Amino acid sequence: MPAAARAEQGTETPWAQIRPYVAERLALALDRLEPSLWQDAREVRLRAGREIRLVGAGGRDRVLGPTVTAQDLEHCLEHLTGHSRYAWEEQLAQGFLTIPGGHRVGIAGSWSAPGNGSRAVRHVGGLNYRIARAVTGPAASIARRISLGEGPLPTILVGPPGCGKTTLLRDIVRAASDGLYGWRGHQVSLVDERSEIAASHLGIPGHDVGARTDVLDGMPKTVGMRMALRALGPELLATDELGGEDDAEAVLDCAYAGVTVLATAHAASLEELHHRPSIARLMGEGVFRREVLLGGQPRPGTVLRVTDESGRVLEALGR
Amino acid sequence: MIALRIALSLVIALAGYQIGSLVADRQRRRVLEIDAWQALLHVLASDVSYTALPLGQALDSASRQAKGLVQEFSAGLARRLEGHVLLSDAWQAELERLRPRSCLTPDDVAPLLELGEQLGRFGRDEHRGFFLRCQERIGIQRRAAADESVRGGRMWRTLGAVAGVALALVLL
Repeated sequence: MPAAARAEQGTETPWAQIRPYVAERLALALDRLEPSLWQDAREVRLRAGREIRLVGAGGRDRVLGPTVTAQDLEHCLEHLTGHSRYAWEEQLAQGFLTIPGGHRVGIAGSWSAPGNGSRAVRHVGGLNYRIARAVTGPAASIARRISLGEGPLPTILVGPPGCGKTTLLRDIVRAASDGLYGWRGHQVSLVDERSEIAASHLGIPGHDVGARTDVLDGMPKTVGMRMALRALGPELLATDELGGEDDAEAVLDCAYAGVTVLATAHAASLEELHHRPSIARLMGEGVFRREVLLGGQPRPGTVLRVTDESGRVLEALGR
Repeated sequence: MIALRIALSLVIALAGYQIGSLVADRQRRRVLEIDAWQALLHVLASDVSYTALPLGQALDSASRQAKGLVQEFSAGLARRLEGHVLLSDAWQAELERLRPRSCLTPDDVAPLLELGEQLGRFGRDEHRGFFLRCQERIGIQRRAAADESVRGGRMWRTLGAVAGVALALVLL
């Protein structure tokens, strides 16, 4: 069972998963927190010269002693990189690391450019431990509207940042892979460029993405989609945050090969989405047969509208 | 009675030679120990610089090729690093643990202690430099140890034997 799922079931708390990656002095302070506070916790923020902040749902934060020092942060990074910063240079250049349980640790500080175009962290000024939570079930509410027969139709999930697109995509992938909600089990390839969907650590998904899912972690979307198509034989391919023309080309390759594509895209409305040339092209080619617009209110993952390929509103929900 | 005295004198002379040999042997083992350290540093430098193998795995892998105390060091440190420890602390603790059985002098150990302070916090290029500098410094110590082993070994054996003969003559 993936670590995030164990945490969700209460068999292992998020703090137990994060603790090995926190400097001992700070860990001892966090040990004293009431366990109930961890149920609501979303982030642990460490900044040099400041106290620890435990951020809960809705952004409410709690300030804890002691004051974090630069040395504490260096020690945290040593634990995060397994005493081997050189082994994580590529990941560090992206500004974050993913730890077991799918928790992501963002890094702030000063960076240097060694000359090969990449960036290396030199001094750590702050760390943000973002606590991953495996949310299972949100796909149940829209499974019927995005499917025809025994599996999901090619679907694009649209919404502003933080509205739950990735969470919903992950759950659709899990359901399609495991054969839930009246679907049969599908062979799924998940191209997870930024490690946000499966939250893999050392190649192993931190979230439950289904028994028939292959994850290409850290792989650029355009390369990963074509690689999956050639090598993994997917019936369904999922990826996050479609953007430019290259992404659209790769999606078209998959669609022409008969693979069902599930994807997300940033946009505040479906109209805004259709104004983007690359997406408009995909819609014109009939690649996506369902568009799902999500909103962040009253809670992330609220489905506002589902439309079909002709733009017909199948159902307006959540309002 | 005279025969007994002669036999006792021979035993004393031999014992003196043996004591001298023991001191000389420690010099020889010091050279071998430095050689083992150099081999370990060479393997670690390759694993870190070229394959970016995490240090715990590199130490574990290197321990299978290393010899004697250096093998104990690399295996022991790899085990320590599995816990919630800092590399510099674990490195120093492991060196301290082996020190009573080691033939290295404080000057031999100094570059190793310094290396433990540097590892893990920088990029591959910096690590290549750290290993190279440590190997160079240890190489200097090795040449000194080899000289002492040749000259000192002969000296200690001779001194032991002469002291033994002198004591035997006094007893006679």
